[in-house]
Amino acid sequence: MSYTAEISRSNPSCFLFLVDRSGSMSEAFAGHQNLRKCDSVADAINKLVHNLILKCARGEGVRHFYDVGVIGYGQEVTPAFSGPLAGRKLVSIGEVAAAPARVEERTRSVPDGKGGTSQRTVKFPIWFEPVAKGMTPMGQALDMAREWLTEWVGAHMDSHPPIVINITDGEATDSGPMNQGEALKALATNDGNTLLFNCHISGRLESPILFPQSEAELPDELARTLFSVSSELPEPIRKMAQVEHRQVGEHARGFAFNADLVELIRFLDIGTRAGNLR
Amino acid sequence: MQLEAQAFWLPKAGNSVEEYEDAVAYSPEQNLYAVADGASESSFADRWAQMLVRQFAAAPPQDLDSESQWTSWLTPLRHEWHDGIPWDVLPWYAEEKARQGAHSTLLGLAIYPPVPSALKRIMRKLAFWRSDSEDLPTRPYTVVTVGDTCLFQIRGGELIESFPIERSQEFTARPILVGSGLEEENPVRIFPPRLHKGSLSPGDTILLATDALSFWLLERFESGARPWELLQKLDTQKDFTTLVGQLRKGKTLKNDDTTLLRLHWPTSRLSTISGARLQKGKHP
Repeated sequence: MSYTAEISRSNPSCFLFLVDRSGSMSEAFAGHQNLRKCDSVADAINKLVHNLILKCARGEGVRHFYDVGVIGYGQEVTPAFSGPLAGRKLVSIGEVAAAPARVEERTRSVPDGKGGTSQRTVKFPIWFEPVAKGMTPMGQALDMAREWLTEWVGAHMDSHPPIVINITDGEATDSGPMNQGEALKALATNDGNTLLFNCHISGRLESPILFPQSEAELPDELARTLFSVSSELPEPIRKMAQVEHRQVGEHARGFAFNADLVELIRFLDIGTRAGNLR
Repeated sequence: MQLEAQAFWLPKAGNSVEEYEDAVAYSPEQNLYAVADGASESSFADRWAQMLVRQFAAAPPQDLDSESQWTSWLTPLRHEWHDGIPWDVLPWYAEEKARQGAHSTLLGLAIYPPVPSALKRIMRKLAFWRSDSEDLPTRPYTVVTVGDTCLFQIRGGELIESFPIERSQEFTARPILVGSGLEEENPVRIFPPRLHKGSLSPGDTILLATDALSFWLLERFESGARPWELLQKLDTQKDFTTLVGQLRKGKTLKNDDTTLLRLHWPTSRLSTISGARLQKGKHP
C-alpha cells in the first residue's frame, strides 16, 4: 500500500474522470461572468488529457502508460468521450491521442525570447464536449466507475491504482456520494487503494481551497461531504505537490473547493505526476 | 601511461535497447570522457544525449568555465538536433512534444598530461606546488556537469571525490538539464556548467555514472559500505548486466537506464612488484 509502483507499459495506471453535466453547470464560473462552468470543465479535461498524452509521447509514438476514461453524469450516466471514441470506456492513452473528436486552433501567449511574449497558434484537440442538462446522479456515476475499475484492477494487480477525479458543482440528487465513494475506494491493487479526488466548483466567490486537511477549513456542508469521501494524498503525490511549492499537510486530501480554472488545471496536473515516468 | 577506460550500460528493464537514452563517448587519445542521461519525459532525447557526448569527446569548448563558449558550442548542436527531426511526418502530439525540445544531463571530463616528478620537485622547492603524493606523477583534471550524472574518485580503496552530488538525498526528480530547443522556439536557460578541478594519482579509479547508479553508490556509502568495490571488480558487460539485475531485483537500484564509464590509472609495473615484495616480506 505504498503508491510507489512504477508506471510502465507492462504496468500502466489509469485515470478516470467523472464529470457533472447537470443543468446547473450552465451557470457562470466564479469570477468569470462570460464563462460557463461546463465550458471551463470541458477545457480543463481536454487540457489534462492533452498533457497526459504529451507526458507519454516519445519520438516513436505514445507509450501505453495510462488507460483513460470519462463518465458524464446529468440527464444520463454514460461514457463521455466524443468523436471516434464515443461509447468507449477505458481507452489506452495512445488510442486517445490518435482519435480526438476534432482539433481546434487556439492562440496562446509564449515567451518571445526577448523578455516579452508573442501570440502563437496552437492545436487544441477536443475529446470531451460541454453538456449541461438534467439532475446530478453522482452516486450512479461512482457505481459505474466501480464497475469499470473492478475489471481493470483485476487485470492490473501490480499497477499503481487508478486515480478517479470527480468534478461537480452541486449536491447529488441520488443517494451519492458517500457509500458509493467508499465502495470505489475499497478497490485495490497490490500498490494501494483506488484514489478518489473531488473537485467542487462553485459560482460563489470564495477563496480557492486546495488539498485541505480538515472539514473545519471548508465553508459549507456539501464541500464537507465531498471532502470526507476524498482520499488522503499518498506520500509520493504529496511530495510532487511540494515540489510545486505548495503547502501540503501530512493528512491533506485530494480535494479542491471553488478552484478557479487555473487552480483546477494545476490540481489535475499534479495528479498526472503520481508516477515516475523516468 | 594511458588510462584504462571501459563503459558498461544497460537499458531500463522493460525497455528495448533502442529505447536506451543514456550515452557515453570518449577519446583516449585526447583524454576526453563524457556521459549523458537523456530525460525520458522528452522525445528524441537519446539522439540529443549522443550528440552532446560525441561532441564533447571530439571537441569540447576550449575554456570549460566560459558561459559564452558553452553557448556557442551548443548552438550548432541544437540546430543539428532540430534539423534531424522529421517534422513533416510527425502526428500532432509528437510535433508538440518535439517542439518542447529534448533534455539531457551532460558530464564531461578532461584529463591533462602528467605533471613530471622532476618538475614537481622544482615547483615544491619554489613553493608553487604542495602535494602529499611525494614524487609520484599526478594528472590534473577538470570535470564539468549539468544535471545529476556524477563523478566518483577512488584512491586506496576510499572514496575521495564525489561530484557534483555528495549525499544521496540531494538527488531530485527534476535536475537541471541541457535543452535542445532553439532560442526562438523554446528559450533555454543559459548556463555555465558546474565545474570542479582535481588530480589523479597512479592507482586511482574514476567512476562516471548516471543517476540511478550514483544514487545507489552514495546511499550504500552512507550506510557504511564500499559499493565502488563491486564496480571496480567488473570485467565484462555480462558482469555488469548481472550486477545491475541483482540490484534492481533487490530494489536497491532504481529501474532506469544505467550507465558506468570506469577509468583506471594503473600503477607502474615497478610499484606493483615492490608492493608484492613487501607483502612477501611481511608473510614469509
